[in-house]
Amino acid sequence: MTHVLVPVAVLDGETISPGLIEALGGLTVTVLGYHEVPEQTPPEQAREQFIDRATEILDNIAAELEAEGATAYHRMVFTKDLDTSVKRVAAEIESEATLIVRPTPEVEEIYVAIGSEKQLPVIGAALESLVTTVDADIFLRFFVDEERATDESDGERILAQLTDMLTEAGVSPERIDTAVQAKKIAVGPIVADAQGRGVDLVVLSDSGLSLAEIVFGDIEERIANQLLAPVLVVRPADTVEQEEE
Amino acid sequence: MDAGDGNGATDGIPESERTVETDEATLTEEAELERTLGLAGGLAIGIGTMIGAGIFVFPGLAGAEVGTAATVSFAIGGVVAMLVALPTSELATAMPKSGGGYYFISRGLGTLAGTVVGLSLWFGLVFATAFYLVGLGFYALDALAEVGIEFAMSPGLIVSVIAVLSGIGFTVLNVTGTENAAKLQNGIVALLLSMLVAFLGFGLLEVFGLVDADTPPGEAQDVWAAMPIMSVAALVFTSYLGFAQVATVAGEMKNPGRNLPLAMIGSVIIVTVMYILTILVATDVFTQDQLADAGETAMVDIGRELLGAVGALVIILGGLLATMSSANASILSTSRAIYGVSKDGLLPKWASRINLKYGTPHVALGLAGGPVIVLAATRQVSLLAEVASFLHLIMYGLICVALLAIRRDEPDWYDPDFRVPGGPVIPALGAISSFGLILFMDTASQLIGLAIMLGTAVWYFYYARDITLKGAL
Repeated sequence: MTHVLVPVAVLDGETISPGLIEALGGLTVTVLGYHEVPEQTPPEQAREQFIDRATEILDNIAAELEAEGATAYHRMVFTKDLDTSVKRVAAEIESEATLIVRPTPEVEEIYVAIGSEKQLPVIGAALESLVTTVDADIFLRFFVDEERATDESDGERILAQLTDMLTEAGVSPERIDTAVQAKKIAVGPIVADAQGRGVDLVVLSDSGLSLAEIVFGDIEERIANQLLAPVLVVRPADTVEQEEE
Repeated sequence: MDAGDGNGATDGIPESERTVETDEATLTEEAELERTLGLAGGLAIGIGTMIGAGIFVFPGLAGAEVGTAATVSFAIGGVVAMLVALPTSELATAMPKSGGGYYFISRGLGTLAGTVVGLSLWFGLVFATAFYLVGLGFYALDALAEVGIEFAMSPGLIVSVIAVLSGIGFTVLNVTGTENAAKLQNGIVALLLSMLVAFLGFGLLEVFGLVDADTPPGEAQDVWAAMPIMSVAALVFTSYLGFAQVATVAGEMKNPGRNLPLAMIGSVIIVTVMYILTILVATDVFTQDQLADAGETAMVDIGRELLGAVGALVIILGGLLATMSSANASILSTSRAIYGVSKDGLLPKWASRINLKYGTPHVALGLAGGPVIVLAATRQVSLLAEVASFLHLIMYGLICVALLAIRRDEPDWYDPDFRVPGGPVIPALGAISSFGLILFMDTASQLIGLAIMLGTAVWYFYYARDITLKGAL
């Protein structure tokens, strides 16, 4: 079961919308409540004043997740640097994915961007967990990359494997739409292709993106902001294993 | 590595809560506090707080008193700072919490000492901030004169107005600004250091006669006598207030066992060297009389003498940046000092409230900025500096005493990553020299300092005598 980390700015009124809660029902979820503390404020001081309120909100979110069948945990961090906190917690709990939340009433369209074969197992596993609770149209897209020496035939093979995994998990084949994109995986091509499809959730892996784009809050945030949809960022298998060593 | 946490008291009695300190975060039962400051950030806090006053305001005042012998005064200040920085480092690695000197003293020596130090530190920082702002005012006046703006008012009045307006500005900025000022601060410190290195490099070449910038002959007449040197040391010690500020952000520092001592000791060494070289250059270029005439902004004239108009502009810009960075850092420290005592119930709880809109402690910032504005209007540079030093030196001395006391009892929780070598020698010398330096100050400064301490002691008996803090971690 994929373990997903969900950072939520609980004290700023951010929450996980009902559609996403439902979609997360088949996963293990750690809700990471966070509060970004300005430099003038010792984090300790913010904790003292706001922890009760934050804990109450987090308890509620966790209860909603469990009601949908998820295994839910929550933690609260007061930080001056969200990126550092997300990386630390992700390494500690060995999560396989991070979810950037955006309001979604219901997850009916899932857009999956895949850029290499090694992303297949983790993306497949995440999708299998997702489709246990949502009934959605799924757009599978493979992005060809010359540097990785992938071509259209690789793309079609990998998409076929992914389609098989999903149909075995109970998704009806006519709800799956596959296509190979002749472009390198990046924000622009993903947004161009996904826009106008009413996508409710984007799934992608953070491998295959250039180093500058991997920084949290950059590529995923840009996609989330441009598509107004939540983004599930799956960590490729090799980095998960490396950090477990 | 387990350690307790002196957690907030609702009814005046600190309650204990289990916490775990790691190199990356402080883990309490319901929340995690991320450590986000690295060594560079720590050094920037230490250097950024210290360098404003020492280099840009004191050369004229100190050189006018004793000439080149002022290098010894600055060296003495540096030695005292180092003697205190070492014990502070040990305590900070044992208790890597936000709170700094107040925290160590209240836990090591009890509530009375804690109240006196905690509240005196508030006022000490207020005096220091006012001093920096007046320095800023003098530099701003020079900057205006340089670009040809002159006022019909008396120059002194303009300095006061600028100091007061900047004080209000910094307070408001700290309440409403949520931008990441830390990065800006690091940039300012880096810029300042490179400007000073370039300036001092040229100045030293001139001192040793390798280049000749046509400086007037007639070096400062030096007064190599113990008493004047010591009294200048007491005056300029304000240049070293700041290294202990690093301990107040101990809770936010990554890998505190390594970074805290390095940041504190490193910043003391760097600024000491800078100060001594600056005085060397300043007293080589000008005589005592000239330094006395130039006063607070003598450095500008030295820059002009060495490098012409460009030199003057560089120093003015540096002086503005340095005094601003010191003032801003001190307002922040004041608000943290107030938080420290209010959290323990020594001040009412509302003093440390945060507003959710900006996430900033607006009450504490107001309690910092308000008195600063009043004091800044007085323009009493030497008095403000000495009272600030007085109140800080009391804390520095007591930090050393607290270290001796804690080491004597060696409680179970005491497990510092860094230990001061040489047994009790360094902390004992640190305490003696800190208290000793106070004796060389002006009587007026001593009286004001004593009155403030007395006031805080009265507050203890009126408000806080039922609170037990010794060993309450």
